[in-house]
Amino acid sequence: MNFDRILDYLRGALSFLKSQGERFFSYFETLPRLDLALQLLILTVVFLFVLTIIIAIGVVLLRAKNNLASKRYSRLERSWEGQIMEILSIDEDETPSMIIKGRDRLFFVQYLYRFASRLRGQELQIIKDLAQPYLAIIAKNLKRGYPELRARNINILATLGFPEFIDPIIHSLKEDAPIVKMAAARILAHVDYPEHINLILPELSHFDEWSMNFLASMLSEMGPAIAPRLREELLNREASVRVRIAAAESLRKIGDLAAPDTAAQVLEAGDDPELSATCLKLLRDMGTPRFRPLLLSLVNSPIEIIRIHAFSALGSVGSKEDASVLLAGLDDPSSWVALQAARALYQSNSTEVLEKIARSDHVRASIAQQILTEVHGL
Amino acid sequence: MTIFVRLLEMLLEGFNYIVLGYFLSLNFFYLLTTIFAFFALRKYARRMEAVDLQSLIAKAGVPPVTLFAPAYNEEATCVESIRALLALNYPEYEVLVINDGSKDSTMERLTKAFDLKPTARYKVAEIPAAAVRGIYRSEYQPNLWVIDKENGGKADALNVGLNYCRTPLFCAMDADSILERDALIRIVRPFLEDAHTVAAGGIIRIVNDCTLEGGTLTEIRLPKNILAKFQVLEYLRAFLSGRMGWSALQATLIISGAFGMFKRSAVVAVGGYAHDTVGEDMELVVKLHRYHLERKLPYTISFVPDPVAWTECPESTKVLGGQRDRWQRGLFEVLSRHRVMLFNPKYGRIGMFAFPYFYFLEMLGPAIELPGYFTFLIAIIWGSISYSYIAAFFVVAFIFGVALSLFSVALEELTFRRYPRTRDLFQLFFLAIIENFGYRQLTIYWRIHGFISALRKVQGWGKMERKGFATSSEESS
Repeated sequence: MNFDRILDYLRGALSFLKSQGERFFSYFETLPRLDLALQLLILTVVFLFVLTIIIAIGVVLLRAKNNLASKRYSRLERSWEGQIMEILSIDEDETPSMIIKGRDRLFFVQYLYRFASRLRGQELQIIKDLAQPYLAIIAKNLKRGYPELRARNINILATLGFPEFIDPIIHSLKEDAPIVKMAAARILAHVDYPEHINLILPELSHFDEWSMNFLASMLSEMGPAIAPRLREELLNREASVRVRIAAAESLRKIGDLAAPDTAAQVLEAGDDPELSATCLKLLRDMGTPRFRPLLLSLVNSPIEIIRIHAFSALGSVGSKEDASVLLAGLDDPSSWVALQAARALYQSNSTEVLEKIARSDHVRASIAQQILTEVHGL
Repeated sequence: MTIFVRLLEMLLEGFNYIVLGYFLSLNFFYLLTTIFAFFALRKYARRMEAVDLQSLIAKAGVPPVTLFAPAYNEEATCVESIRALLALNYPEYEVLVINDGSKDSTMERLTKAFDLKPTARYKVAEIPAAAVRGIYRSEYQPNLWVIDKENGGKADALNVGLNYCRTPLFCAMDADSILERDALIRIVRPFLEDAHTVAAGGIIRIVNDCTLEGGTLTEIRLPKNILAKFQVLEYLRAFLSGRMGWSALQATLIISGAFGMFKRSAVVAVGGYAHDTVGEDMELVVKLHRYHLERKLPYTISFVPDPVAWTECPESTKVLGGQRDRWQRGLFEVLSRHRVMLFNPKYGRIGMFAFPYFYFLEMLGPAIELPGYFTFLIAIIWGSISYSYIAAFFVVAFIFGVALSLFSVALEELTFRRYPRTRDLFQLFFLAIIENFGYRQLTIYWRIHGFISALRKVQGWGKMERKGFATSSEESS
């Protein structure tokens, strides 16, 4: 019965709207063409005027809301800060809890998240304990809201609820949104959890857009325990070049002593120039004189980036015996190669050769001067 | 005689239709970019909430950066500006000040303030530029270098910087601008998140009458000078609505010379900055688009709305007029040089969308708009258009302009809220109304002047008078 009445009301409302609409448009149809255009202009004026007023009021209300929120948050923060400082200063085995009202809980956790970034050790643990009762809300929110919010919640959980909330973070690694996936990967790339490398590596191909430095830096956070898996990936010709470069760069950042042999194998196979350059950087940082023959063969590569890094590595692992090769490098058409060759001359204890060039009218004398200035100061 | 009158009438009517078409197209683009800017800014603000900048600095392996600060007769502000640059929050960067043959005491002031000593530094690129007189390095700030060179203009100075740049990224800016402490880490973010990024632009804000302490802005307020106030509103509109919108449409064609970050190798590949235009910043971006699109290379050029460079704006009509004249000339020179891109499908949305907008509406716009006022007037006298139409048309134009300005203020309020004083907010509202009576017409006049100067191939930059920055001690005294 009620349902029928509602339907009747709706039908009535619809027919009223229809008749009003017809009246409105028939009015325009009756107007002469020019008047219609004028009417439209006037309607536009009215519409824009109303819109402008709405925007202006909206801005004022927004400012008022922002000011009120800011005042309220400042007041809350001041009160929380006082309580937290007191809790931090008391030497008790068990952290007392802070009772926060429902609507302030999310803000409280966010406040603790910002507060925690300044702390370490026992103090950080106290903050984590204070956040503990409210973290379940954050974990629940990992599946809700826009991707950026989910990514922020991952960061909050990582700071205040790690490793207790590790499972929802692992789950987030499988999300479609790249920002969420990346936030999860960065958290999971943790030195205490080397086993996560097997979760992260298959996802690396989804981070095609991100810079290599960023990815390598993330992987290297996991420390030396992941080195065997990275070496495996570096040799894996089935893996994408980007993943292999990330593996090589991470091995370099980790300082894995077994990595130079793997890098040498890659260099001998003559892979992608970017990959070769990354392997050469690895040899520069961790190589030994036994890689000299390989490096000497690469300083004449037709590819500039390989020559640059081959000279750089030779400077690091080579000796005075290489002076003639390095000297020839100064004549390389690429100034970047010449710069590395000059630096290598200094590193391989051929300073006197460099000084001689710096004093001469050699076309690259200024490079030698620069290297000597870098070394000896102004 | 009748035929002549009829012909004149037709011409007048035709031109009025062109003006109407111009007005509708221009406002369509303004509306479009504003709508896109709104969504892009909302997304950006959310994204920034998810980013922990300190963690980014500590863990993300941010690349080293060189800051180019070309200086020409900057004795009033150079020391304060360089101090601010040296206090930036970024793990590894060099500051390369390029003294472009200043005639004042810029070099002496820098030498004294930073204890500069001659040193050697090798060129790593060979982009043609004026001769270098000397290279100096600070005794106590090892990341501060000063290159003293013969005068050759801003583009030439930047090319010298490129020749000596050893980092994969460089940041081009004006020596008289103040970068916010986190500006570098914020502007470098697109390069971390998208490996194809070749350039990113930051936002420029007006520093006049703001207070500076130790290289950091401590009080932000609207300027006292009315011209500077108008420019604050203009910049909000240009950056928050315009550039943000174009960036969201993936069609950024301008990165301000006052603050932009670039991939060094990409800029060297396109031959660096052009010497023979005053719009060298826009020319570089257009060239980067062309280079990558012609070779079908993946690339991204974006605008980032929160890394801020604060800069002093002109406060006299003479200097402001000169600046606008130069901007219009720059636009004309760049778009004429790269005319091949116009409606060329090979250049994708740049050729089919952004380039035509800048070509017809920004470059040729003033040449339509100013005569438009007169032809409307003639049409009224002639009696071919009724008063009511003209009045309604101008009211629409006026209210639409105000609405767009207010929307930019709303975008600022939604996101960055840099002007905390409520009085400033109401002033911005008021400015959005009164700028339509005089200031806008004046800018059109300057732009048309610039258009004519470009046709006459006038060269040169004009002169900028600097007041220097207000410091808190000056404020209190």
